[in-house]
Order: sequence, then structure tokens, then C-alpha cells
Amino acid sequence: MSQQQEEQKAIPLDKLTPQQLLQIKKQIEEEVQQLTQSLSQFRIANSKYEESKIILKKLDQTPKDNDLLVPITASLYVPGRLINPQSVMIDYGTGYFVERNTEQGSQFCDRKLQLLKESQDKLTNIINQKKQFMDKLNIELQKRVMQVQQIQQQMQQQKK
Amino acid sequence: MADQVQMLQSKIEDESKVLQTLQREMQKYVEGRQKLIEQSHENEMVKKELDLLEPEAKVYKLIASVLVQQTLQESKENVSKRLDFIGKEFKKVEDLIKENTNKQIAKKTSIQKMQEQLYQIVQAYQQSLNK
Repeated sequence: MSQQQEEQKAIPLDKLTPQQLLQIKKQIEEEVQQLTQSLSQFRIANSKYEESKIILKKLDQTPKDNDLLVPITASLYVPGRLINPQSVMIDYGTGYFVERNTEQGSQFCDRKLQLLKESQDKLTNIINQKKQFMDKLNIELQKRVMQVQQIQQQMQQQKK
Repeated sequence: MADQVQMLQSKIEDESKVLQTLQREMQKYVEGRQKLIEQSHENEMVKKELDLLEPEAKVYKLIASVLVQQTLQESKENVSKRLDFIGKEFKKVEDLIKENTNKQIAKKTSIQKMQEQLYQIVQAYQQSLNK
């Protein structure tokens, strides 16, 4: 459906003035930049969830009653003991937290990673479509430049 | 002729100011709409996750830096209610956006008409000078 829209935009391309083509090109370039930024944010979220999974695995291997330091503030730590390495608190969103074990926590991360992957794929698709459209625009702009050059050459020949 | 021109010009100015206010309003509506979409997404995700939980699962709600335990039932109901509320707010904003768009179109048309009138008056005056 969106490809058809792209084609519909492409048909009257040669009827647009070079300034209009340049304007559209700028617009699409900005859009592509913004979307690429969003894509990198996705990657950051991805790595955070992967990291959480690794930490969950490590927790599994940590023995009970292990000594640790608990951060109270950014610079104040308090000595403590690991009572239940199996139990983790998961932030579900909108202020809800759920107590789960490490296995369920890992599954939660997997589900989130799946969601992220789907969104990333959609986003990559859209970015590619826009880039293809920009290529078409560039081809059209080049045509115009060549046309102008041809006319200039003809005028020079006529003067001779 | 000069009176007519002045009157039209000041009317055009007034209508343009109203148009600007409408446009600023529209921006707020669009921002609000965007926020509602984000909230709706987040709550949908929480709802899906809560649906996967077994009934004995320990659910906590963050109430001003305190985690308070809730029953799964309570939490599900709460999230559903939030989603309903967001849905209603969304509809309200969409209606406001529609109304605003229509008002903007009407204003633009009336401004255009007045500008045409102005142009015609000035044209007629110039022609009468040329004779």
C-alpha cells in the first residue's frame, strides 16, 4: 500500500520544478535522520535487555547469603546479604512491579526483545523506502541538471 | 476608498490573529494526542503482561516511592479502567482537532475573500487613475 503511494508520488515527479524537488529532498533527508536516531535508541534498549538477561543468569549462580554492598544513594553503600537470589522485581510499566523468579524474569526480557525486534524491522523497512524515494529524487534532479547543460551547449553552438 | 481599504486591512489582521491562535491550539491538541497514544501503548503492554501472570503472582504498585502490594485482580481492573479513560480522552481530542481544522479552513477562506476584495478595490482605483 505504501509502495503504491510512493509510485503515485513518483509519477508527477517530472512535473515538479527543481526547487520543489530540492524541498522534498530536504524534507525526506530530515525524516530519514530522525528515524535513524530512533533506530539507534532501539539498539540501546536492546542491549539493556540483553544485559539484564546476563545479570539474571549470574544471579542464579550466586549462592544464598552472599555478602554484597547495597547502594543507598549514588555514593553511599551499605553492607548486606543476598537472601533470595531467585526472586527479582520486574518493572512492568505504568508504576506496576511484579515479583518473579529469575527464569520468569529472563522470559520477560525475551518477550520484550521480541517486541523490540518487530518494531526495529518495521522502522528499518520505512527507512529503506524513504531512501529509495530519495534515490528517485536524485535521479530526477540529475536529469534536470543535464537538460540545463544541454540547452546551454546548444545556445553556445548557435552563437558560433 | 481609503476607509474601505483600512477597514478591510484591519479585519484581515484580526482574522489572521484568530487563525494564529487556532494554530497554536492545534499544536497543543496534537501534542496531547501523541501523549495519549504513548500512554495507551504502555498500558496495553502492561495489560498483556499481567494477563500472562498466575493468580498468586505478587504485584506491587508504585505509589509515591512506596511499593504497595496489590492483588492481580485489582491491578488488571485498574489497568483496564486506565485504558478506557485514555480511549475516551483520545476521542475527545480527535473531536477537538476536527473542530479546530474546520474553523481554520473557514478562517482561511474568509481571509482569502477579504484579500481578493482588497485587491479588486485597489485595482479599480488604479484603473480610475489611469483614465
